[in-house]
Amino acid sequence: MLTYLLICQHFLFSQVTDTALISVDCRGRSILSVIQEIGKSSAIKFYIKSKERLADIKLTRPCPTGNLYFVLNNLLDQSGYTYLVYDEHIIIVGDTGTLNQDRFNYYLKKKTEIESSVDQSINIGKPDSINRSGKAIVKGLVLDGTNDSLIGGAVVRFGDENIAVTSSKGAFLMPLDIGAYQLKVETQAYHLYQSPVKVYSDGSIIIKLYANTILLPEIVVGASAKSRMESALAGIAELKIKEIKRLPSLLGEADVLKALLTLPGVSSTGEVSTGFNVRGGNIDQNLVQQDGAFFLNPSHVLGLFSAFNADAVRQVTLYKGHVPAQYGGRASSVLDIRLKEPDNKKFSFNGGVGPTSSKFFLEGPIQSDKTSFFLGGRFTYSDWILKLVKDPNLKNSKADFYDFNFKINHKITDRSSVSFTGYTSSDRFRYSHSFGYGWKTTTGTLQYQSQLNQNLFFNLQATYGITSNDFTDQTAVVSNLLENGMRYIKSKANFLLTSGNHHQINFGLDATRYLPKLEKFSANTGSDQIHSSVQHTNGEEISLYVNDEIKISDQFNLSIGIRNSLYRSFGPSSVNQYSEGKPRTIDHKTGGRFYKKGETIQSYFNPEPRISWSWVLNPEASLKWSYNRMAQYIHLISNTATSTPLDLWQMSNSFLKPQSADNYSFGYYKNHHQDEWETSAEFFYRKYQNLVDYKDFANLLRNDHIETELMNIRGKSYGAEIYIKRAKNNPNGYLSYTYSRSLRQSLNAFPDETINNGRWYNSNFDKPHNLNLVLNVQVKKTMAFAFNFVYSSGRPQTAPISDFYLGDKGVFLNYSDRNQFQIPDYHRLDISYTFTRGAIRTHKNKGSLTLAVYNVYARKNAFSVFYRRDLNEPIVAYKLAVLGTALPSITYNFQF
Amino acid sequence: MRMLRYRSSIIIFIAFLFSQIFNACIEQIPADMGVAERHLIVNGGINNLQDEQRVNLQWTTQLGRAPEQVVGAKVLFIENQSKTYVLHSSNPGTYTINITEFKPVMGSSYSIEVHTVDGLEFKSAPEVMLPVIAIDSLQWDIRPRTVVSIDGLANNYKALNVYTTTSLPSTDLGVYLKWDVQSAYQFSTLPECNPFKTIYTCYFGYGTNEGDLMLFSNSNNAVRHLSRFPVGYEFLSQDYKFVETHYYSVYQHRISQPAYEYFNKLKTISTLNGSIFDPIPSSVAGNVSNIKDPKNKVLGYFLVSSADIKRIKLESADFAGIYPLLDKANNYCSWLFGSSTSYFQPCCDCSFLPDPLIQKPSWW
Repeated sequence: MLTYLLICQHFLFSQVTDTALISVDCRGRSILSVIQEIGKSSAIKFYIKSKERLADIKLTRPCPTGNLYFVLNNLLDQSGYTYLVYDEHIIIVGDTGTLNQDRFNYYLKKKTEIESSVDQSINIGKPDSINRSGKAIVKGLVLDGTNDSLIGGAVVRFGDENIAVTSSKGAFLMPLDIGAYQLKVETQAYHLYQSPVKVYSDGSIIIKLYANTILLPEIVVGASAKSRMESALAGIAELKIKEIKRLPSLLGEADVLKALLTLPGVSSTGEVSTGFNVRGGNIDQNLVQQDGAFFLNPSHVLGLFSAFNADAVRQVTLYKGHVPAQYGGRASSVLDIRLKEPDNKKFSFNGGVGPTSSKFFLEGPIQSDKTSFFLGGRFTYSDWILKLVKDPNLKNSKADFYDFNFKINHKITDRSSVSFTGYTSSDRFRYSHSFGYGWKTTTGTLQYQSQLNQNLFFNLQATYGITSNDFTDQTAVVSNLLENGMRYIKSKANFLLTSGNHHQINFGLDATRYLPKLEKFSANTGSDQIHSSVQHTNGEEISLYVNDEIKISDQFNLSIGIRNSLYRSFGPSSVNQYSEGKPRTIDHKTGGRFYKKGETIQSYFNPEPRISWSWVLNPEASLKWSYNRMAQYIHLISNTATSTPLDLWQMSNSFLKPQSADNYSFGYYKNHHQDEWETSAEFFYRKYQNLVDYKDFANLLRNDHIETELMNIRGKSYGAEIYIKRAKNNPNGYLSYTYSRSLRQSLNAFPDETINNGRWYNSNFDKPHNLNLVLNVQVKKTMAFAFNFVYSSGRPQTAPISDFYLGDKGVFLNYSDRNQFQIPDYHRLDISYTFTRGAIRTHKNKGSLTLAVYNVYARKNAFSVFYRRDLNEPIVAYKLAVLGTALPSITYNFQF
Repeated sequence: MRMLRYRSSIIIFIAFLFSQIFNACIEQIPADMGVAERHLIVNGGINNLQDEQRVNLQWTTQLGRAPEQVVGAKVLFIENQSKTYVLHSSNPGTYTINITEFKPVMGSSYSIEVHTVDGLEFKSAPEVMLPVIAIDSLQWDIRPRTVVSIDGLANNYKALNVYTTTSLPSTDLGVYLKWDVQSAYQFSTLPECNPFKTIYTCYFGYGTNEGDLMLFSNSNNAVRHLSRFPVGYEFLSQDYKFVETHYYSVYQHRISQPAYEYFNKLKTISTLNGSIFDPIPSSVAGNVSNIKDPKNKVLGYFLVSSADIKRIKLESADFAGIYPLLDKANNYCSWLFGSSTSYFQPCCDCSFLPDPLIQKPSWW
């Protein structure tokens, strides 16, 4: 179904007969129309260069009747054109001055060489249409042989000297001399592809790679060596799902988001963190999208697992430095997760079974080569473990989730297709009969893709997403239920225009409408039922963008673009009004105004320029630099150390201005020993405007004047990322180290609206040192170990600095400035062992067994530190370790 | 055989997983004592029930160390932002004024000014003494109360719970209440304890639900009537507190919105347990500020409240069939003194007892 990207030229040839008499009326007609008539009447196919010029040459004389050559000689006389009879075909060519028999003989010689050079070769182009220049343009696609999914970053070699790297859409374009080559295609997690090829003329080729189903001698995270050098995009990281699956994981569940944390510049606040932080940005500043549908809460079980089913995912790309203009809406990064393309040839079923959860993935054709689908699901059944626990509260607790991915593709024509991607998930967490959380996410994306012409592609997407959260508290004075959520409708029309090998232009329109759900509260006082609700502001964002990736020369590449985003918040909504020149508090509320449905409350416009540039110093070294400005109109409102499911998403309005970030990146990339070793050093600086932070003790839920609890602040982050990778041989792996700082500052006129008296303070996730080491050791062909070591500085915390008594109510603690201290440092080692032999492999199916231990040396890493001070007792500090023990897991993965 | 071997491995792994996954994950670590910062602590205020209004002033020291008393300060009450009353230093750090010199008036506003010997000046925001909200009735029962230990495990303990039933004014937009519950009980020695067969009766007093602030606001729930609203509790143990008469005195303070918010914040930070749902703690600012340096934090609160009081009287008979009380004939000396000596003079004459001995209250 993906062949819409293929660019092929077909010339149908038939026998040329030079004996038949041809009679045509030439007077007043163009040479082109006469040749075309000859072609139609005689079934002769002509290959014509420069049709425009031939169309402009009008004949004033009649054409004599004769055989084909006679007519052609007469027709082209003094036109500057001539023709070649090449086997059974006729080629009309211009520039006769350079056409001579020597040149013609050269083509014939080449053709003879090609035909005699290699047996069983793949032919590219037509042997009968060799270009006069002796050059050919080869266009190709690299696909996963099992499901036709496109493989980006693959290195394609024609011989030793002609090297190309596939784009994110699996395509490559290679100018070559006509001749015979040994074609090699290699990329991570796939078998090396090798084949002799004969290149005759411009043509195309589809190369299918097959995954190494056991283990690979190579593991790399990030783009391939050559593309890393040449790409104009600074600060881009790609993860392939096979690489993610190889990392040791918590309870055996391959996790996209946890794998991201091994990359430089990516961190989180702890093990139960919903989301991740990129280069000092907040978690809400990452656009996390799966096949175009974005997720507001990309986690399960309060962040222990990601919402993405690794079996359904094909490729993960993180734009943490330069973000092309076709992406937007968030200020820090873009995580673009692409799902597999369903196999349109054959059915397959695979899955995994663990002690607490299972998963399955089914795919296959509905109509061969036309329509195909996949359905994947994961679900937990951990309740039975809780039942085994003696503690009655845990025994009565629940913690489970499920998610399903569905995708269906239909190929309309060779050049167009339509697909639908659906996702739904549900989480439920209940602690005894006390309190519980629940959250659900559902998205659906309809996508139409078409190749409008050889160089123009069109993609239209329409997405609907909904996130619902609820919280019940039976222990409160008044037992209550609180619900909130967000709906959105998104549409995007993208055009991709390619021009030779030098331009790749994306342009289009991206529109999103955000509709927060009514925040509803219901309570039972025993005698009364109380209901209340708060309607938060709606918003919509429309962006026009254009981005060109330009290959200026072999040394210089440029990506330049601009995204113009227009935003408005709109009713129905009541907007509070406050006294000018006074702190924004409920005491200074002067009134309010109700905006009708659809009525504009506030609008903003933000131009967002993007530029990134690379300079290839030599085949093994390059420099890159980028600058981005990105705007964001949706804000996560939270006053906890890490986001919880009930945190509000609030749209920009009169009080909450759009966030924006100016991102600067600079990097030096160097490969060593024929790309066996890859190293890089990247530096970044970011400046944020209008970030949202909360006042101390903010009441963020069911608050119809939430703006009194929030403030716009500014921020900055900076740092350096070092990356050393052994991409080839055994063992392999990578080491990443990041030094970064993430700081915030509130500069308001009123003391109540400042934090730490207006001084710069650490963000909640300011962890200066982060180190990751991933090591893969292949013991045998079917057995391998993987190690993952993590170290990071402790995250900031607010700690007590003194205490005081109040009456007989005991002693209370007086806390420091916000985030003045740090919790203890974090480090952890994970190990996994995978093998695929013995009882788990039969002739009917294949499978693998992975034994893993998360946190091998059972370090009780602090998620938080809290303090207790009882009357007449000294203060005591406690650390809470969420996963304070070694967690072994066993996972059996099978495939039919 | 091979399959069996794998199956065994899986079972062992699962068993290991279960044994490990629920290990306690909270442990004590050395507390960072930080650096000493000197802040004024204001503890006290004005209410309509006190014969003597009292304010205690202290300076903070390093975390975990006793605060310093503020001595030699000039302390003033200011009524309706005009009339001033000077308090007297009765003990180091304690400043008082009796009812003959100062009697609060309902509807008036009050604030405090503090001038320390080193030239610092502090002042509170004025607070109005609002009309009293009366307690309609009090109730009590004995039922299990859940206590979550520091490692997150919940246990149930029997507790005596005190409730209030109170009608709230239907016209007021926001009502803020704070409760204090004081216990007092009587204990008489046994006649055979001393050679003169004299029975000595003593009275003891203590606070309940220590450290647990009992607060209510109807600003966002529109509640107009409190029915059996919990205001105090006491975990029951094998002791002699209830073998004779026992009183619970419930003080229902009507406080201002800022005062409610202040105490609610204190309640929040005193119950943090490090979970992901915890809000990030912060220093809690009261209503007193440094006049010349507003950025200098002042701890505590100058509370102006109007209070109502009601009492519950419990006799040992009230516990019959509900909660077994100790037989007074048993040795109570160890309970009173922490000593197992059975014949010990103070044990037989409780007038020797130090604190918390109290005089028989006038209302008894």
